Amino acid sequence: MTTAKTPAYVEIASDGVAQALDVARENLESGDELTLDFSRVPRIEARDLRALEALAKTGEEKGANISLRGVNVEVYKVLKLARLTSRFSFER
Amino acid sequence: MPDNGAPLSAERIAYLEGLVSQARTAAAIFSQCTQEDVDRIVKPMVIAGLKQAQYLARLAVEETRIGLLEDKALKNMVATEFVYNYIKDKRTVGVIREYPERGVIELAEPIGVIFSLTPVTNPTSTVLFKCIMAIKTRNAVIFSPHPRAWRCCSEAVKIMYETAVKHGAPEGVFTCLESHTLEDNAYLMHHKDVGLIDATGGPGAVKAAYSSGKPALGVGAGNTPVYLEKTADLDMAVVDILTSKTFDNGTICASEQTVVIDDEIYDRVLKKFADLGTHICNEKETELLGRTVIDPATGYMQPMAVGQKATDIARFVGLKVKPNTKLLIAPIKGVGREYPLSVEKLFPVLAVYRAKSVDEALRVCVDVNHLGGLGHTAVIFSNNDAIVRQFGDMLNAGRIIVNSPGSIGALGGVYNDMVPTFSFGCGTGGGNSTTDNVNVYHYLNIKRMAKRTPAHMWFRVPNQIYFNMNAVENLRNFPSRSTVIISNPPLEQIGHVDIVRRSLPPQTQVRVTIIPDAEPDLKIIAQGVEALNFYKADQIIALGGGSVIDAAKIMKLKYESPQADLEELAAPFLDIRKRVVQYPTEKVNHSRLIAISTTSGTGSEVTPFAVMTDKERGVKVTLADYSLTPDVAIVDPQFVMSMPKGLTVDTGVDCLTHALEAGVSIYASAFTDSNAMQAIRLVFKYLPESYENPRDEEARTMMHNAACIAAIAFSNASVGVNHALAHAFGARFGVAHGRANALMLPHVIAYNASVPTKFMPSPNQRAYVAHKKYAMIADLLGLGGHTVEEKVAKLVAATEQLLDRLAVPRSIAELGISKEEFERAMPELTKNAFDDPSWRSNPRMPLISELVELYWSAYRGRGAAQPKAATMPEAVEEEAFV
Repeated sequence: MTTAKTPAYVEIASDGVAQALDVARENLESGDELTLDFSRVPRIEARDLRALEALAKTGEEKGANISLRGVNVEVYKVLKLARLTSRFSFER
Repeated sequence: MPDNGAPLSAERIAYLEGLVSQARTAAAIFSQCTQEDVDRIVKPMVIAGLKQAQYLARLAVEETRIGLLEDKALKNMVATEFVYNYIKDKRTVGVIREYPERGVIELAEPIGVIFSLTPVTNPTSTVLFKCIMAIKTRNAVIFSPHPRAWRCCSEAVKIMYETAVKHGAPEGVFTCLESHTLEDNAYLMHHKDVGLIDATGGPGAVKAAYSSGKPALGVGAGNTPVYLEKTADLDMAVVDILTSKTFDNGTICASEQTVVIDDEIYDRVLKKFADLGTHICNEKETELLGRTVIDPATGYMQPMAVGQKATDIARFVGLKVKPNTKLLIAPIKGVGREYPLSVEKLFPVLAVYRAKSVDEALRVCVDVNHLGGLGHTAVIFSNNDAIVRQFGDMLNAGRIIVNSPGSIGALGGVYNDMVPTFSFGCGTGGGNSTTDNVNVYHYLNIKRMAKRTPAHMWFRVPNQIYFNMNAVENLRNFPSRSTVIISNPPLEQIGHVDIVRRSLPPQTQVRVTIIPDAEPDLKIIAQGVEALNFYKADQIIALGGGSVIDAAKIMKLKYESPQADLEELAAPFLDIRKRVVQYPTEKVNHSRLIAISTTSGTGSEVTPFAVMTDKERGVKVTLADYSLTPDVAIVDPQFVMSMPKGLTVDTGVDCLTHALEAGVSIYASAFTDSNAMQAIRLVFKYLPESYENPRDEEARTMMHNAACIAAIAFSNASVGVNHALAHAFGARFGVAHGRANALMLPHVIAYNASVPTKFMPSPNQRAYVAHKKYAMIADLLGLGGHTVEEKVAKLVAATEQLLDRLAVPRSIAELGISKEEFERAMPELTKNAFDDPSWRSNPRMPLISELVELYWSAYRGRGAAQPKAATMPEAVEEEAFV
């Protein structure tokens, strides 16, 4: 018998995107429902992208569902160019 | 050296994928940078390049053993300083150019990942150049240097990369393949994440780039011909050629290859070369040189000679030359495989050819140009502008350098104002997509944002319009030496021609030309023009209905401009402002055209249209141009008081159709609307009166005015699908134009008021408004109704009632046309209706199937005029008047 997990919610600060993502990845467990709030992230750096890529990989391996919320269009375009959008779900 | 030919291992693929992934991430991050961000990165890169110019040059010479350190250092400086000077103020992020007058804005979109091949001949300068361009445009680059220049290139990449990242560029923005094979290159060239291949190198690399199916900038070999013409400044020419051809030992592909010298100056030029350190080969030396430095098997230069000093080449070949010899000159007698030295030679060996004439010189230059140099570079030294221009016309070269050195001239920014580059586009002649000096704009996707720009509208009418009873008396205001009145027999018989004649100033010489009361043909036109010429007319008065006035318009055209080709002028057009055929403006005669209408329908007295028949070809010719509009229109109801009932109805319904169609036309404007609406109001009020009480002067006056006013509207807004249907139907079944219009009219109103299957493209309209226009007309007529749908229905009903009152046939069936006959005619009807230009200003674009439906609707007649789809919703709050 499986027990439904409570969806986790993490607000990402603009000055620590990669670190927050790394923490989220380390804590990720099988079947997790994780929402990352990017509302306060106006722009991302290369290390943030790498952290997102690693998180996506871990999420796929563990069957977790990771949603990104509040991603502005500029950041969304960067994720698109980096071919990362298909690996997350997006919420408004 | 790379081991070419082996299939890529899984590890190698992973390595290459890693490079692409790194570049893709860098490009994605880089896309967030602003113009200020990139400019902040570019400047220190340029300074770093300048500081390291000599170091990188030394590395390049040591590794490649090609060229000269001093010149390579200079090239590195040009690749940084000169390129920076060109790009520093250029916008390459966001909005890069604006054309407010055109409503166009250009925006930059980075390419993303660029795969770049760099050459052995100009290795570090090319890397510096491409790195600066890439950062300026927010792109990431994966470099694949020529294997023989890998170390110096990777060092140049490293210097640029470290400086760029230090100042804010994303990590991974430049990478350099650590050794490579052709398979590596092929893999990257085909990679889905590589957006552009920038291949500077030999023909193989360029061909591979273009064959990959990716967008590519491929810049390869040249073969620069030089014409040294006798008017040139010879001292300057010789020094320039020496400077250029010996620059970096001749490694720049734009450098001079064969100099064609005029016979008169040939000996003097060679002596000047010799005086400045050139060895002039004799015939035997030339033959030996050609055999040694050019591969007899391939016809191409030997790689071992590329970028070597003249003295080293001479020693290798076995020529005795002075120790300081800079250049070897080899006289040749022709161009082609049998003359080996006529090909590209990237070393200080220059072919020369003695030409006996300008023509011969140009022919030899063209031959050199076509021997591997198409699209690249050509040089001329001459002070004869005509010959310089001719040279430019004859030579297919992206860069035609005048009175300056080829190689440094082609680089741009030093001897001329061309764009500085280290990559020469060679056009289709060189298998390239551009002839430009490759620059930052080739590293961008330039997006063009075009704002909606309403087309310029117009409102043209005759200079003067005189109306109301006895308006003809105004003719006395128009002095003339020789006036020709054109009219038809009935009008002459009932005395109308005499009224006109009496109204003219007494001293006027007046002649009358009577033409048949029918659509004019070429013969009638020719006879009229003959009369105008015979009487040297300075004034033409057209008295009649549409046929007479149209005939007079065409006669005036041919009288004033005999060269006018009526068939050509009748060529179809979509937009009168962009038409292909222009009406003549040169005139051998000048005349004033005064049109006096004797019917109340066509409005030809104020329109720019004229219709005639070409009996020989059996076709109608419609001419349309504002130059055909009469100069003066006289709308005097005395000429229509005796109009028969049938003609009153036919012309009156034609007038109503003009106004209704102009009202909903895509070219309708506030100017035309005011006329269209007024005409509709007058027709609904006065046409029944005119019909029922023909002697009612007020009704006749108002209908006569209405016809003119409606014509002013449709002259500027055009008509619509009703006319297209009526033209085809009338011609096929011999039905008068007005009656044919009447049969279609209620059905077309219902059709245009419905939700269109296809909208007509129309920059001047901000929404579909035809239904609202009809509703406004219903309001104007006081028909009642609360919603647009109700008002449209009331307008259809009112139109039906009007037509009933005028006793016009109310269905095609009533004309005695059987269903079978009509069905048989349908393909021809719809084809001709669709070919008719009238519908092109209709608010709905008619499908052929809809034309069929409209015809059948008209066949059934009254009650069939219902909107097929829902009437357009009212929710659209756009102003119906535009």
